[in-house]
Amino acid sequence: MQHKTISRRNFIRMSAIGAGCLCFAGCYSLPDSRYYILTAGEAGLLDAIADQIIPPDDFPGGSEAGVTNYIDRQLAGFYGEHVPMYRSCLKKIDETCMDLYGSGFGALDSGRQHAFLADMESGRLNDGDWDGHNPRTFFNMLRDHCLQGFYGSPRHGGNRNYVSYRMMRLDYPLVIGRNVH
Amino acid sequence: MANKHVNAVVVGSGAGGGVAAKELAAAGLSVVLFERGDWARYDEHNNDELTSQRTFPLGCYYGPDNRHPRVAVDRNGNGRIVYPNDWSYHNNAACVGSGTVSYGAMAWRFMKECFRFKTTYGHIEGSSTADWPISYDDLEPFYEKAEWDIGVAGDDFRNPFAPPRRKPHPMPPFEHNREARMLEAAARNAGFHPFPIPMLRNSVPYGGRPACIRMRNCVGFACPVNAKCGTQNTVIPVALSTGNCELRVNSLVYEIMTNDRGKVTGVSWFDQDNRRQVQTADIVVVAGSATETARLLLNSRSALHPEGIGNRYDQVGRNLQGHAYCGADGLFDEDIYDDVGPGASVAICDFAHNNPGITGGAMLANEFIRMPYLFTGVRPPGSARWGKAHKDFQRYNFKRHVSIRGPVQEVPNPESRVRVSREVKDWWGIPVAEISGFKLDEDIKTARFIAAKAEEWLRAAGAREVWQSIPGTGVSGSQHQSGTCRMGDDPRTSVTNKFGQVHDVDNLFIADGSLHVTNGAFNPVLTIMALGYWVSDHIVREWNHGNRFG
Repeated sequence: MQHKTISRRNFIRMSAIGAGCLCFAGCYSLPDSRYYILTAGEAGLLDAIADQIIPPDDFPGGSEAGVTNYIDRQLAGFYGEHVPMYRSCLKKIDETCMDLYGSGFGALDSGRQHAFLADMESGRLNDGDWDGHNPRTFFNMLRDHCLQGFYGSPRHGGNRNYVSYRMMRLDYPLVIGRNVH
Repeated sequence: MANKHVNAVVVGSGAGGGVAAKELAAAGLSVVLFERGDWARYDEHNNDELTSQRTFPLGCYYGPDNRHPRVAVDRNGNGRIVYPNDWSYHNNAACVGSGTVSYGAMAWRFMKECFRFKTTYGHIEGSSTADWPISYDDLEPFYEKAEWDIGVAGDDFRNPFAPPRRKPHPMPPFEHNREARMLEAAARNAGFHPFPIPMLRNSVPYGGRPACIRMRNCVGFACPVNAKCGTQNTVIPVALSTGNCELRVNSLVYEIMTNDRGKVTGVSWFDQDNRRQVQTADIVVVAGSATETARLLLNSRSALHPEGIGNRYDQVGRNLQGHAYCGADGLFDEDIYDDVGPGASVAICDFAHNNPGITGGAMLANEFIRMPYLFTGVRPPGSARWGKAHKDFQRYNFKRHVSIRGPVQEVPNPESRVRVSREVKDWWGIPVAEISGFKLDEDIKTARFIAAKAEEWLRAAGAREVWQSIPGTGVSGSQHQSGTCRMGDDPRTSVTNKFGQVHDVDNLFIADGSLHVTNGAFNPVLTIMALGYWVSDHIVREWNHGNRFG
């Protein structure tokens, strides 16, 4: 159903994001031209993470399926409340990798990337300073969002060309009234 | 702003409210049916799993939206604000037809023992367990009415535990898919008594609507051909066609008005432009779901009802139940999945009741088809939650996975309850529902017993790997929510009498799952519909004798 009014909370959140982008144009990196919210650096990092959550094999992985696009779209909408956590924790991921391994997450080899995310998942990084955020909580949310972006309906910006449904051998789009054989 | 007076207001257009609106309108009463949501449409929602009524990380297409928060209280008494896309919100739906638009549509009659839970199983420590003030035999004609009026496909012939019936189901049962055929044979070999699940779904054309086309995405989704029977495509259109019923959508009832004699005079509501209005009526029937009905009563305070209408003995909102779902999952060495929906097809009632040493029980059935995102969470314990192994499981095991689930009947717990928040208000400024509670240990014990039976069934079918699913101890509610305004003969331990009439308030009725004393070993919707007919039957009978409940 079409709701004529959106929630006050969503409305205030979305105008704040818009206002934020304009006000701090000089101080912040603007969103990359392909995205509503994410900078080029953030998008690149998310692509690398998405390819660990759903690695490419003989079927596309998370980045090719558009998981980053999905996350960006939702951060600009229903998931707007998570923007501060994403901003802060994505930065911390790169900083922590720099401290531990001497380069950002994206430049690490795949095994190292996987191990780093496993450390986030297990809580081994919880002692670090993540600006008040919990790295395990952020990882769990990130994992959920990546899986939504890969396995959810393409109308939300991910699952490009129904790639995950083809992998699962489900025919798409559904043909209404099809014969069963 | 006052509206033209009517005989009856019905609050909520779900399984109970839709039925009540139609029965009262067909009997000649003037009716206004209020629905806080709007009409849901298949082609708007399409096949979007992420906003379905089953999985909803991006919000609930079938309603409500984020203007309707609640408070979830944990075991330590800490409350947090929750929105409909959070499991702790315990959502059902908010649209015309409510849950019946998108449900799985299993159409169960409760068994006789479900109505006599306390007599059958005795007192349980810490519980408020009780018998219903009505019996299965009282409700039997109304189950029949619901089955024929709304439409059920089924056949009790092969279920030796089925309660007695006068009339058969109006439609033949569904043919099994491959998974169900396999499970049926396995159940027989294991000594169980499998039979086809009765469904509120057209197996043949019925009610002017076509037969089911066996789609994979059914539970959680509206039906594109209207083969799934809900109140929105059966009784509500009939109510409207009588000319006696007006349906107001996007219309939020927030208070029940009373006069200085404590009698109900009508309701206050917000219209779709968010203006306050008053609708007066001779009687009010509340059918907003166990959570919202309790909330409405608690928010309706006056000098004669200082703790909320009907709440003289602090019973409104208590005994909140759902089901303690449990079961088992199995993996097979070959494809079982054949894309013939809705998936759930075969059931056994061998363990619904009378399990030695066990309180209650559950029917067991194969599950509805798992959609892709939901399936990302289905893994044996200890499995990878992401990465190549997770992706491979999704790819190679989706068509080889079978799930058996059972709705374990919970023992009523007075500490599982709905209250209203002192601090948190919704978008309109009305105090929101606050949900707290937990499952009693007895529920978990029964769940373990039932899950073991589910495992036995899967192993009999030849599953190479099986793992059980046991519920947590958190409070239940969500799609099977019930119990918060239960019926009873004693006003100190119930909210309504056996006819759903609120004690002390003769012209206020309840006609939804709130009435349930216990919630059955089965999905509750057909019982809610039957109670809609039962309560309405009483009202109409009395009305025709000149009783205006005033």
